[in-house]
Amino acid sequence: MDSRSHGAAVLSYVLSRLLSSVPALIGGSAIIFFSLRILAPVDLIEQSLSEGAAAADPVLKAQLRHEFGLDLPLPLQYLNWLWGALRGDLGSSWMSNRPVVDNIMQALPVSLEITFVALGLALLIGIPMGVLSAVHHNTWLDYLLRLIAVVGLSIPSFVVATVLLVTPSILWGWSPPVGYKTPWENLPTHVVQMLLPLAALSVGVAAVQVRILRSTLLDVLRNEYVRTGRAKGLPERVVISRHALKNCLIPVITLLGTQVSFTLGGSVVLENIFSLPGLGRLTLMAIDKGDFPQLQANILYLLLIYIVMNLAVDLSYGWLDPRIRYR
Amino acid sequence: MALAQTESTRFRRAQPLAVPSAPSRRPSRLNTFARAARREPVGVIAALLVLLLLVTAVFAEWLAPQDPTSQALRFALRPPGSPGANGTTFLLGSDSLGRDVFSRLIYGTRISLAIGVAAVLIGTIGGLLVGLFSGYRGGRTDTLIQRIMDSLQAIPTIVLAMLLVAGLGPAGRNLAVTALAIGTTQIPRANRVIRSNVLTVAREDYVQAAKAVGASELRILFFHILPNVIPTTLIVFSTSVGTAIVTEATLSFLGLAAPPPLATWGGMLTIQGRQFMVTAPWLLIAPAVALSVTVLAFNFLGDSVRDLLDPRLRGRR
Repeated sequence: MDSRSHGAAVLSYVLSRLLSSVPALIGGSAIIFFSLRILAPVDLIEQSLSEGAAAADPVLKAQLRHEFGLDLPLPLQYLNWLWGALRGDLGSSWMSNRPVVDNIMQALPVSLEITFVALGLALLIGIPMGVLSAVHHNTWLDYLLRLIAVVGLSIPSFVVATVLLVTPSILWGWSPPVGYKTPWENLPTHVVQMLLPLAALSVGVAAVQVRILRSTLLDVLRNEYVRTGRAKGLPERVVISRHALKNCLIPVITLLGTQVSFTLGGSVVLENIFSLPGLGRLTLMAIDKGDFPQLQANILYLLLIYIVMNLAVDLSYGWLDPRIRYR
Repeated sequence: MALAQTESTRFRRAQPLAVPSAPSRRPSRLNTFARAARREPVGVIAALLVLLLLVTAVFAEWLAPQDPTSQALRFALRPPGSPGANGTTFLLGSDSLGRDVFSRLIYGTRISLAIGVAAVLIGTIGGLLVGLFSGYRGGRTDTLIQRIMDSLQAIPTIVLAMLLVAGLGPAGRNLAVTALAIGTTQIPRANRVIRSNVLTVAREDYVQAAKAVGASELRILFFHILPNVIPTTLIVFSTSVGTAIVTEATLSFLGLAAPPPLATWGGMLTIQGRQFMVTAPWLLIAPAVALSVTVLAFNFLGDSVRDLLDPRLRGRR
């Protein structure tokens, strides 16, 4: 297959994957829409009018309900929302009266930075640990690394975050600077502010990577081509890094795709601990205030990030293993 | 198949060589347990720890030296070992409201374990029913159900749990709702693992035979398929408790689970309490260690149960 037709194949694969994710997005948003509206006894109109004389005015209430489209049957309300979403209009936040998309666009870079840098850091820690553990398998080093991995897996990220935040404070009276700064405003402050949440988040991700990489590498090292490589006198370093490791990366990358969801969830919690103005804090605030349009849009974006990341994972297979072709 | 043979060869080798013709005896239950314990020593330690935690949870009233909610502001932020009112001692110190950290830790065990186990029961049984039905039916029904499960799984666990709990407003801040919400977040994964097992079992000859003799769908599902996916279901159950406990602690930490006077490990670590941790580090150390050790024990136990029930997976992950 020449490179051009390969490029076209990849492109049509990407398009068909994106198209096939539309039902998942619609399904996911429908689940959230209906469960929130059915579960929640919080009524925006009652809530916002709970004080003052207007609370008793049924005409005003009905008028407001009509204005927000809340007097329609639920399925119709959902179709209204979906129609708006398809035209790129996700509505306005009930909390801030701004278009929800504006709020998201402001928060998204923070969350994306935390998620991606944490995943990258996790690979930087996880891959060497996994390789060492497999290469020296059943030695004290292996046991130690596995112990570290399982401990890292078991400590919740919010506990790691709290320990990371409080310990320097106890020992040296140091705590990270308050008031979030973007990298353009003040890069050093930004880096310091991101350091602790990133460390807290990447520990758990790296722990899982170590475990999967170790077991995969152990399987791969039993292969003929590894023996051949050793037999023809290649240095062990080359055998591991060129021959064995590359064949282990597919499970590691696959796992990374599923970990996006975990990392996004973790960033929700960590943004609250470290007061970072990301999607997670926006979501928690929206939950707190019963701000449905904002909540609905946030979940949609979380789903989108997940879908795009997993598409990227599937595309990376072709690069990691040239035998894989896209159809 | 090959693995089953290695197992039996290993067993035969353990028989006395002098009596090759001796009829093979079925190992007693105690024997089986002893062999399992020898194979999974870490699992045994983890099981003992879990047992200890269960005892603590059940007998919290007898074990806790003080009432976990009784406040005494004059005894606030006392370090571990200091004397409290009426000749009591704050073994692990007291918090900013003068409550005994040790007693709160003990009562917190109850909530963590109760919610953890209840949530996993809900999630596993839910996932089992969905997986059985979806996997056996196949076709469009299966595709539809699995797409719904996929989109549920794409929402981060903690966000989904937050949505379910918080959607209910203050009424949702109770233990039953918390367990139900965490259980719901576990259904997709349980479904996925169990469904793939159902798919292989449904192709087996005995299921085809049952179909051929005209057994009803329900009969096939519950008498022929269900018993054969029980080991997988147990594996899902045992490997999920740790996650459920972490999710509960995270929700409590965010103030979205049990209401304040109740003692929970996540609640003890909450942001409002952090200002005191600098001067009173025991407020951080005690719940953090309790939570981590508990999750560690459940994770080790889960790994061991999986290895024992499915030897093909031994040494994985």
